[in-house]
Amino acid sequence: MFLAAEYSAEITQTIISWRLVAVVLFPLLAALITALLGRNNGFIAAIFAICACALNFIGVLSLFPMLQQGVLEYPFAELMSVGLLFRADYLSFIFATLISLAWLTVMLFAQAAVDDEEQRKLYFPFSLITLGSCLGVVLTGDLITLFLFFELMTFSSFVLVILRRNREALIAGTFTLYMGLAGGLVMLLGIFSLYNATGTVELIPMMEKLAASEANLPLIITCLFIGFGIKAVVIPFHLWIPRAYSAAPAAVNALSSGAMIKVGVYGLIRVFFVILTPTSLEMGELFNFVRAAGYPVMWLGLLTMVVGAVMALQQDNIMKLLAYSSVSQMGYIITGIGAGAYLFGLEEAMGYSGAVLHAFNHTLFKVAFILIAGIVYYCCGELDMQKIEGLWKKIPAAGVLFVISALAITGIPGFNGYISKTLIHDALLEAYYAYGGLHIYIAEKVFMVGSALTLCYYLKFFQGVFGGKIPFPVLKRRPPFLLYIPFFFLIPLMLAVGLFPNYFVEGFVLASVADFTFEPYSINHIIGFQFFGAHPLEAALMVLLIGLLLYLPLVRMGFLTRPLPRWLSIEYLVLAPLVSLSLNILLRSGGGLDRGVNRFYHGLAAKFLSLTNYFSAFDQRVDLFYSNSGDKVRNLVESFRTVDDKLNQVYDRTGKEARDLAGKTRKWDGALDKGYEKAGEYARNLTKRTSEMDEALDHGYEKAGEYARNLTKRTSELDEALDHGYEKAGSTARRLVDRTKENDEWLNDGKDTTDEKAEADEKHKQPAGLNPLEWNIRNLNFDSLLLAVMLGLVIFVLLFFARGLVNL
Amino acid sequence: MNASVYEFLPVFMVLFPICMSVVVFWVSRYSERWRNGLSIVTTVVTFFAVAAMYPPMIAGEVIAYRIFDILPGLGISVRVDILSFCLALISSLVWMLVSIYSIDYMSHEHGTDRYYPIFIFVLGSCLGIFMAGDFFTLFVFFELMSLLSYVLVIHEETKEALRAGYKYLIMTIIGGLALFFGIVIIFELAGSVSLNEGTLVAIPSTMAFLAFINFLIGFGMKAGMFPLHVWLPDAHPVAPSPASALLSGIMLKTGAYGLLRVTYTVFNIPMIKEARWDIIVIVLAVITILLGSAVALTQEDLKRRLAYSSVGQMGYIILGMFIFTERALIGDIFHIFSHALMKSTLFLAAGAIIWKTGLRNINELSGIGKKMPLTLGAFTLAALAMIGIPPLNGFLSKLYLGLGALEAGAPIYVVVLLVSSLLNGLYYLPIIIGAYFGQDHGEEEDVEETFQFDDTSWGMVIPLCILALFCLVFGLMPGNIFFELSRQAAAFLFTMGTP
Repeated sequence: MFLAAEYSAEITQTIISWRLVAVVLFPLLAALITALLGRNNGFIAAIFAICACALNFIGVLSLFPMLQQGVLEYPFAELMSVGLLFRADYLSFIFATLISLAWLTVMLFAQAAVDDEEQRKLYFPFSLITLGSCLGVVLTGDLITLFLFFELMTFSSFVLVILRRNREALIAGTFTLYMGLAGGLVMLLGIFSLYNATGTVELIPMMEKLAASEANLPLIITCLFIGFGIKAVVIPFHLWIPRAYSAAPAAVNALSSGAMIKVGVYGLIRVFFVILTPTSLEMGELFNFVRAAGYPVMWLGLLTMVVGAVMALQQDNIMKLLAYSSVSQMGYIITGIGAGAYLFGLEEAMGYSGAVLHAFNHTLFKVAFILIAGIVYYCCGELDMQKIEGLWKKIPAAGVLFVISALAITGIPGFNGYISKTLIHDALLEAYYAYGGLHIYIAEKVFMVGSALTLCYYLKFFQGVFGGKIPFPVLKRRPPFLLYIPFFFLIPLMLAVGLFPNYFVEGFVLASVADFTFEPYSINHIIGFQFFGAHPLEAALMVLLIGLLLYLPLVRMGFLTRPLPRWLSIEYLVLAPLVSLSLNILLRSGGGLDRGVNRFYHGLAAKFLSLTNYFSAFDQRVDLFYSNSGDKVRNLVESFRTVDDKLNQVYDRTGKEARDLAGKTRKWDGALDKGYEKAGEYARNLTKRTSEMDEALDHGYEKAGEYARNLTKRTSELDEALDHGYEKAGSTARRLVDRTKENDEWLNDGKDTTDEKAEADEKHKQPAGLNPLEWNIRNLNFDSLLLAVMLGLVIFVLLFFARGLVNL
Repeated sequence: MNASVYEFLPVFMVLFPICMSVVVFWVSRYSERWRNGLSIVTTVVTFFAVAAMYPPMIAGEVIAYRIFDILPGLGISVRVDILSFCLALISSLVWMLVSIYSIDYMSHEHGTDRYYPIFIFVLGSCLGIFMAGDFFTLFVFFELMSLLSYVLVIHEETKEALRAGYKYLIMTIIGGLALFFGIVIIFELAGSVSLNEGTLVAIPSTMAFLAFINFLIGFGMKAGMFPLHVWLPDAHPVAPSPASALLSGIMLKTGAYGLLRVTYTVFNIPMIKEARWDIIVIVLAVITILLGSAVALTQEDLKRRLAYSSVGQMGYIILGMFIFTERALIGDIFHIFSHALMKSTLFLAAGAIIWKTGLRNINELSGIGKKMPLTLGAFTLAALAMIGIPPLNGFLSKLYLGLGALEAGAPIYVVVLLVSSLLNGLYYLPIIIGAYFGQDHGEEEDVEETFQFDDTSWGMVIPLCILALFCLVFGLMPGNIFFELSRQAAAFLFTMGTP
């Protein structure tokens, strides 16, 4: 073989080759033919499928000569409107070989193991489709094409998982499918973001472009990591694998472990060692991101390794144990990838080649284990370790094969597991040398413990299945020789890798580095690596010792049989709450919103209806009002008419009465006339009487005047006589004083006569015919009353008007 | 062909089905065979009339002229650009296949004399919407289509159908009124409602906003946008399956078409961005997507689940047109094509299952994949396309929508798309898994042994399979006509929307 350093110095060229596409599409075409054949005869279909796998394996190997000259490509620029690109470099070739090899071996096994006719009908076509899609994933040059085959694999492997078609299988299959689907969609987000950042989805080093764009790089990497990580059973995403394994037959699980989960590894390697690397080593700061990303991945790998191992220790179902063993072994690979990325630019080749080689090795021994478990199931129809015992005596061949595989997986020198584990362990040591620090020291110790636990659970497996004294139960059937055929491929390869490590590491693994941007120093470090030096052997010995030391106490403490509490499981802690929460949120809120909107509209409509009802009621009322008021008006009119009639009658009657009245009035008038005339007469009489009285008064006055005049004349005569008397008295007074008294008496006499005369006057004044004492109401006649009243009225009227005048 | 033929074709493709509906109605009195034959001939001729427009359309020509005026600036006019052509092409294509499917499906149904004339009349009015040169014409055909399709919705005349139809009718009328109001406002603001004059309203104002909201209500109602989607899950399942396929596959798209026109022709991108109206629509669209997908998950009735799925998918389309990047617009228009193909396939397949077995409940469909392999095969293909599995067409539209969203700097939309895809998976896959691998029924065993091909009639299977194959062909094949058209239409709209 060639030296990797020389190889990487070569300028690679691009070769367009249709064979690449043929390798991918041939299984798909074969699947169709198998399905058609399987309708009539399952055996022929199985043989055809095996031939197809063998052909395909040869086809994959035939790519090798061309790969020595450069990268193979076959673009379909027009397909899917974005273009599909098939490409194969050395890394693709490694994985394609691994996949098609696994397929070939498993198919050989399945031909005998899958004996149910119904299952055969599905198994062979769909496993061929899955083969095609797995090869498609590793032989594509861009992420969109990769995604296409990735999804195809998810769907076709679903059919394989539910092959038994019982309830458990359906649940496990659906769970796997949904997880794969979710992972695919998360990956798609990563692909979209990557495309948006760099403008290409090709699998080429693009750290320069990523650094230049302002893309959210951690998000992209997380998405891609989750997407591939679900397939690669990284720890929080491993949930599907124990379920699927316990539900599916061994022939499916072997494919799953041997090939399908390796597709996830392939994707992670592409992400961390291709996409996240720069195109040249000159820009040292571009390494920072991939180093930073590698560190958590390394720890996640260690976690996966230890948790997987602990969980494997707990299992009684041998398929579940192997499933967790796969989780644990994938932890090694992830650790290798993480450590390689963490050491990028320093010793990346160590972690990388450890990861790749361990992926290859794991395929070899895990396929072997699962096929052994398949043989056990074939014989006993049982997978529960508690119910199987002492098979060592019944099927010793399987026991021997198990021991060899177990030596390989636990890392005993001389077998292949030792080689890849040493490389990964060395990567951790290199990281410790490069960066130092307690955390990496701890990481290295965790790695040792994880490896030791591997030994523990395989010891448990061996004790449970092959150990025990009484071969019980009696075997249902003997395994046919055909079931052992795959081991003729697997065991020699395990030994070959284990015994000639440098040959494989340099020729097979390191050759793939040529297409990557790796530090030449790190590559050269691996060339001629002393796998059987003191250091690695010491580490292997340590692992063995720790494993043996751990095993006995663990058995004593009953740890292997007492399951961990349920609340510690990831299902319980993370998945169940997450799923129920998100589903609840979505369904509740979605359904609630939908119902709410609907109810809102219905409510609105109801409101609207009630409003219209209200309006119509209002309308009715208005109508009623109008009709009522019409009635009322009619009534009113009616009543008016009656009133009118009545009025008419009244008028008529009134007219009559008025006429009567007029007649009466006329009569009254006449009577009044008469009355007036009479009153006039009376008035005239009165006037006459009054004038008579007047005359009599006049006469009285004249007489009184005459008497008065006579009196006056007499008075004046008296006056003169008095004057005369005064004069005489005056003249005689002095002489006749005593006679005064007499004079006074005389005077007094004169006065008395004056009074008598006044009385007489008054007697004269009284009218002759009228006696004022008799002037009273009784003898006042009507005329005078009327006159008086009228006079009074006139006065009132005058007064009234006069008042108005005054006011004016 | 010279230019005058192309000018004549749009009017022909609208008037021909409308006139033929009268003929079919008349013929149906005399002969059932002639009625069916004429219906198919009409849809086929219409499809080819539309397809004949391809050369000028792909060359980027715009055919626009005015037929007559009712008022100054308001009249009936024709305008065909590449977007109209896209919609008309997919509509007439699906219509043609559905009309073939209808013959067998409706053979046991009552009221077929009513069904066929309405069926082709709605085709004419639907094409009228796409050929319309101004919003007034568009409105006329929009209302014509909406109201006539009521007859299709209530075809079964069950109590449920009548109820759903009533709801549909009420909401359609409300939508129509809102649309009319929007058009009136635009006429008031711009003095024209023509689609041919570029941006009509370029300055945001309260009135313009009011018009926008009214358009959103009018077209959003038709497109099944939250919160106006409530009629859709009721109306689509009760209609006969070919009508459901058209309602979901094509007629929803008229709403999307209207919104595209409003966004890119009445207003323009900078204006909507400046006024931030897009946020309203995007929020509604996101709710639509998640709600449609989530509620679909809870539905037990097959067609009802499909109808809710339509709500979610229309959310993609509405979201896509408001992301405002050319890639998103390509994805958007391509999703119109994709969804038309996928959803009509799904509804036709559901119809075939119902026709054959009378089963509507999803839980009862176990094992049906063995009895009806072709129907279920078509269903599976379309459902996988719906989930967005490459290389089917749904993936391509999702890819471009996602890339467009990322280009616009909004990865959250991609997350929404992907969550919705996952939900699509969660509600489609159990149907498929149950149909192929479920084994609740005891009778299944004899089917397994004999494997008798017991699918529905060829008249139904063939259109179904053609549509399902289109899902694959227009996702995978090179020289993807629909994708090319989408790309050109998106470029055309985008240059129109960015003055």
